[in-house]
Amino acid sequence: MNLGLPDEAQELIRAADRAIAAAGGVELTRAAELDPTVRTAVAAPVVAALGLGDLDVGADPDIAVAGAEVCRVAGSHAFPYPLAAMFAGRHATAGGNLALVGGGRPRVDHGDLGAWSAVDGSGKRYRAVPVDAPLGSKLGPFVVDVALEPQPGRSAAVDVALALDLVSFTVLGYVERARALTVEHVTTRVQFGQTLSRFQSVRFQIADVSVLERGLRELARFTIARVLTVGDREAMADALALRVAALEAATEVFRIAHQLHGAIGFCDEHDLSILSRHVQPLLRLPLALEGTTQLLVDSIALAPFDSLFSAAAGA
Amino acid sequence: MDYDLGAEAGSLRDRLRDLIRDNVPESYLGAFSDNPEDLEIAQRFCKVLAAEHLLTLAWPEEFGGAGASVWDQTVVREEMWAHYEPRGAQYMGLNWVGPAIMRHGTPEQKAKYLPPIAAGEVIWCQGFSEPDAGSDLASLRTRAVPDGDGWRLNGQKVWTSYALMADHCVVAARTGAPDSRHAGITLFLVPMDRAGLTAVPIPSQLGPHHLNELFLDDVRVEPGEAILPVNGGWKVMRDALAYERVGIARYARCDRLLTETRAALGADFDSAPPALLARYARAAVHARTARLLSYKTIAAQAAGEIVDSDAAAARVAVTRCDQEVGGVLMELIGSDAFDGRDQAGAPLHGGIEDHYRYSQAATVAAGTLEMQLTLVARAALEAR
Repeated sequence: MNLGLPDEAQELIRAADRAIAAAGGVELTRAAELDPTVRTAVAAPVVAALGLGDLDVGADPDIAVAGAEVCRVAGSHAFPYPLAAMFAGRHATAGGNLALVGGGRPRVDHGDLGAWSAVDGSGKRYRAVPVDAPLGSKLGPFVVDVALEPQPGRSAAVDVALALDLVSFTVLGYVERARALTVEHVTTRVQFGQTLSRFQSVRFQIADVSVLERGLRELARFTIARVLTVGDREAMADALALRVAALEAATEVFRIAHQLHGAIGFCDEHDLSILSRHVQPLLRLPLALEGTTQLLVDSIALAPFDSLFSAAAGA
Repeated sequence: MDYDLGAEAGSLRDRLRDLIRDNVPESYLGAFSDNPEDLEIAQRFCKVLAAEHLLTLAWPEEFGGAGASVWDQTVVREEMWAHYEPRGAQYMGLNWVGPAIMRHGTPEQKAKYLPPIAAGEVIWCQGFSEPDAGSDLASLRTRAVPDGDGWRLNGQKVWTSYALMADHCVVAARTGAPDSRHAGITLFLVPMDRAGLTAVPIPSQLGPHHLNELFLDDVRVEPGEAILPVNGGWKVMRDALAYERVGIARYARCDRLLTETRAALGADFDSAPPALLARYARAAVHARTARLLSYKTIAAQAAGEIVDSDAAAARVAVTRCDQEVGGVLMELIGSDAFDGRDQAGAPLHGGIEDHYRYSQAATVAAGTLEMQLTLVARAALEAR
């Protein structure tokens, strides 16, 4: 058992964090909302300078971990660029971005940036062509309506799983930042003569956030560490399980974060508001919590969820 | 990154499952039972494990153990808990009383107490909690007053599991000033047949032997029965409670019950309401997450870096998962939920009903959920 991150991943994490912060961090996202070309003018060069376009996350477990951790860092800054889709596309289609699509109107976050392929839960492939500009809405500022053009062949389940895992790591980054902002707020905001953090009800909510974040992090690392080595079915069940955990954690963490911030947390001048709005596409595309859970139920119906006892049951 | 528990772990797990299958009936649901057969099963199984050099696997070699890796120890804890602890009440002696005596006992105490524990021949209970000292254990009031070369104990303990079947009790008593709190507690190794010591069962929904009262009325304690130094008991108690936080692999029983319930229900499982199947799926995810949080704590422990908040976070996840699984499985079995092991045809021989009842106490026993949340919050707020 070795739970430490590979050295290469740690170096890349530090470099990505520095570079994104230097480019403005959450402020960059705020700027991109006012001028969407900021994504290509500022965010894309950061990605290029880090050499992330060359990272083949499907080539090796350590590289998968490194790529996933960079997605986590990007999420912690609400970085306005589809990094997870870029990594998934680089591996699955040797170029372009890869979107996951589910039921309903096909929409892709940042679907106007670069060339996009898409894959649905059954592995069917499409070319995703933007049919409009980004919505510019509060909850989906960069969400783009796309037309799906069927393509020959099918994607391997592991490619879909990897794409899902990378999104979940991005969500983990959002959760980490929401927790950090909330801790900062409750330890400095004074009410009734003491900081909010002195109130037990507040402390218990902080603990709940911490337990959710810790659990998501451990599950995410376990999942990415084995995505390339387990079979297709396990990789997909793992990815769905991780997405369920990520959506549960994000929903509860952002609920608590907003509750403890009070009104200031809803103001766009506060980073929490930017984070909680920009995480929405990650939580809802291609499927939100109940839809994802149903896919996991379907997976479990075919074979037991891998656990300490599933092998015995299947034998 | 590598989540492999080690080369020996897989074969050890197989070996333990073989021994359990061959020696423990499927209807065994632990030592919290009035059925003398259950006690016999546990006693016999301990001897089987002892003969296979598996009973004290975790103990250092100098005390007759195998000096097993923390991951081998983890496998043992997982398999034992998953199968309703077939070592019975002995687990307390093996898991923390024995190791505490190894670390803090005198040579005479080691020679006297460790061999019977290692042979699976004795049962120990733990006299920590009192009517007015629950989560705030340092406020305990049972007094130990010097009496010649020994002491006299007076006071009351409560929630003492196994007290009626135990041979010995580790009694925490105040030897310092009444307000000395952590700095004035000493642990005593008291035979349960000592005059003045009375155990009274407390009927409860958890089943027999879970909860007892222990009355200490001028109980004489001999000089060799104190864990020294006097007033140094708190450190030993903290070790014991830290062990209980990560030592009980509740997620393993959750994993087993989730899998076996599905197999037992067959087509009835597939036709359960979609919302219930969704809860089942999420419970399976939470059981995996709880296991991984526990592994993180164990890895830190192996590296000598155990962090209280890591263990507390793992325990929050594990105990909540325990209750969640209990709730989901009870709903899956519908009106069979009322059937315990004494009702013919009870699902999993009453294992689901037993798990549900027991899981209700998971967030209370061995340090309440609120105490764990307090530790996690403190770490989160101080890390800023």
